[in-house]
Order: sequence, then C-alpha cells, then structure tokens
Amino acid sequence: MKTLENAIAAPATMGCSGTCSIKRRVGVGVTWTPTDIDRVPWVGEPSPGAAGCPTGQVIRAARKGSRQTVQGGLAMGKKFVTAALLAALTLALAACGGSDDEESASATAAPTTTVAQAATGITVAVASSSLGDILVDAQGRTLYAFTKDKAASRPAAASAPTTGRPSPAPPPPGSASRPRCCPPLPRPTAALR
Amino acid sequence: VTYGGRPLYYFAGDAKAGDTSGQGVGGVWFAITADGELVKEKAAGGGYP
Repeated sequence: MKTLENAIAAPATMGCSGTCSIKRRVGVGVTWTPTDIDRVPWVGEPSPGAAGCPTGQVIRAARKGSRQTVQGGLAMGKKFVTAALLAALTLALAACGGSDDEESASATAAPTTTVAQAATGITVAVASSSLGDILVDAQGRTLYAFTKDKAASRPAAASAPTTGRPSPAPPPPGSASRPRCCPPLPRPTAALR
Repeated sequence: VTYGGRPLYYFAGDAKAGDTSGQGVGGVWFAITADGELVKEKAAGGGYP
C-alpha cells in the first residue's frame, strides 16, 4: 500500500528504472528502513543499486548535474504533500462557508463590536462609558446626535459655528460637499464656554 | 457620517476619549446607543444642562 507521501515524492526525486522499493523514513531525516510495500515505477537512469533500485542515499536527481538524497527528496515531497493537503482543506472550508445562517448571525453580531466601517475608512465603534454603551469614533471620542436632525436628513448643524457645541463628525474623504442651504441651528446657550 | 440615518457630531468640550460632556446639552444633544437610540440619562458629573 502506497503512502501518498511516497507516491508523489518518488517520481520527482528518484532516478532508476523499473519498480523500486522505497526506503521509508522512520525518524526525522536520519533513520531509514526498507520496505516492500511502497513500489513505484521509476523512469530514468538506474542508480548503482541492484536491479536498478537505489541502495545508496545519493541518487541522481531529475535535473542534470545536481544530486539529491532520498531523504531530502522525500522531505521535500512531504512538504509538498502537506502544502497540497492544506490547500485542499482550505478549499473545502471555503466551499462549506457562506450559508444563510452564518451570514445572518454575523450581521447580528457585528454591531456589538465595531458598529460600522464605511468604505471610506471611517470607523464607528461602541464603547462603554458612564452613559452605558455608546457610539464612539476610532479614537474613542463620543459621538452625538442632534434631536432636531431627522433620520436620513441633512445635518442641521452643517452651517452653524462649532465652537462650544457639538460639531459634525468629519465627512469621509472624497464624499460630497456639505449642503449649502441648511436652516440655522438654535445654539444651546448652556454649551457656550 | 451618519448612523441609523442620524448625522453624528463631536462635542468641542470633550477633551479626550471617554468624555461625555456634550451629553444632554441644550436638551438636544445626546449620545447614541448601538441600536441608534438616544441616551437620555444625564452624564456623570452633571455635564451640560
């Protein structure tokens, strides 16, 4: 019975012809014991071993002029197989993801950590404060709402002075300019410093 | 920048992260919860009326 490791590694590293017995690595790159369960047909130049099978640890590599040990070849093969298995596992996991249940769960959970991150890079988060969990910006500065702003309306305070009262959060870079025709905002007198 | 359709604002009196001095200013400025609701309770230390 062939192992996946040997079946893949051998053709690229061995240089003998015929059916050969691969030496299975027992330890970590040091001890090798022969076995007859791994038989892979080779194509190429016979090595000094009997009947074209490698007995020495140095065999001719596929590329002319270079030499490679069996241990090294199988070790490289093991890395290759490991990488291939990881790639296959990644694809399998990717294929399993994206169900409707997962999407709805993530959409529900998102506001508890980072509430929103606009495509422009503005981050709004939730932070605990003396008022409870409130919206803050990426630096932790508290964000406020103006009660006279209607939902989905333009900022009523866009044209009002910003000293001593809440000021509009900066618009995302590249966004449209502020509207020119905003009604004046009644200034909260107690907010003046 | 809006959240739940509400434009968001900073308060000039907040000097550092965590300050909520603008809470309840003029009875029209309030912090916002993650649900988009206004926080109606007063800020610790009184804040602005």
